[in-house]
Amino acid sequence: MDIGNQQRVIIVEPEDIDITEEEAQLDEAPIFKTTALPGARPLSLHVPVEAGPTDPAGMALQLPG
Amino acid sequence: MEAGKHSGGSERLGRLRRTAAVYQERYGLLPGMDAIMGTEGAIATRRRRLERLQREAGEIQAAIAATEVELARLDEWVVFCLVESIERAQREHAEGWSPRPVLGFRIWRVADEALYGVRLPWTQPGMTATCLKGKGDTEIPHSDGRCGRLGCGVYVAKEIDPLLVGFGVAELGDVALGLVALRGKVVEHEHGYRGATAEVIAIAATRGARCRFTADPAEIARVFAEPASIKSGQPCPDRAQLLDDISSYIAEQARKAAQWTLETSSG
Repeated sequence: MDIGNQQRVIIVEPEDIDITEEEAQLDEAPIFKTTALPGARPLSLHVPVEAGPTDPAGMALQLPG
Repeated sequence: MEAGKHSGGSERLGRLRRTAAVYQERYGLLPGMDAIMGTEGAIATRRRRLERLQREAGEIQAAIAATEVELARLDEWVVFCLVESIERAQREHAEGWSPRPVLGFRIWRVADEALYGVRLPWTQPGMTATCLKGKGDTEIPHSDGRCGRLGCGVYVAKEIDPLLVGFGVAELGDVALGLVALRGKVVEHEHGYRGATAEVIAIAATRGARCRFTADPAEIARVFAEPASIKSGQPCPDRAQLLDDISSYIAEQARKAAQWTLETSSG
């Protein structure tokens, strides 16, 4: 099949994130940055979100602390 | 240390000159003063040269400092221009960014030794694209047209049905339909995508009278490594029902994957 004309480029990659070395050692699962509140300290929570067939290991979320 | 020696020597020299002047007043021209006067001339010449060099060194230091400032300003200007240029290119080409993979669908022809894509056999669920036309190993899949309108990359379709129709799956024999996650650089087309790296995250495959539907990574890997293992799967329904089941299963896996990523994105 012909996928048609090219439309655009999409870059798929996790956004860089600033975490402490200690947090980096704790978090082995991929972490994606969320927008932190002004003055809020990023906090990594090891809370599986709706673990399902495509999420067997759960994912660590980073939320404003 | 050199400066100290020089300074001490100069003080002593000054004292000796004053003493010599006293002795000349006292006894007239001292012995050896002609040679000393010649040397004094050489000293005066070098003192002037030293002062000129020191002045030039100061000017050079000032020029170095000014040039460093100019360089820093030019660097800042180039940074500004590059950011503008890159952001303009991103806007003009409507470039997108996503932390989540782009999902699409692929068909393979199933044989005992491998699952065959349009161009290459797959023996594992992952594939990293190369430019088969040899147009360079960077920025794959190429998006500047150097390797044709439909260039390099791992191809996936946006929708299942056009894929099944386009490949004539109804008459193709043993096939596998997969849900594929594309990562890295992904080029979007009207009806599909070309990706830099692809990973199959769900598959529905038939081999003979058996089929295997799975989203388990280990089972998917086994399907690609040992396609004959599909024969130990569940019995297949008739062909028409089978294609419906395959499509429904993969579509459901796609819906779950999209739902899950939406849930995580909302926190």
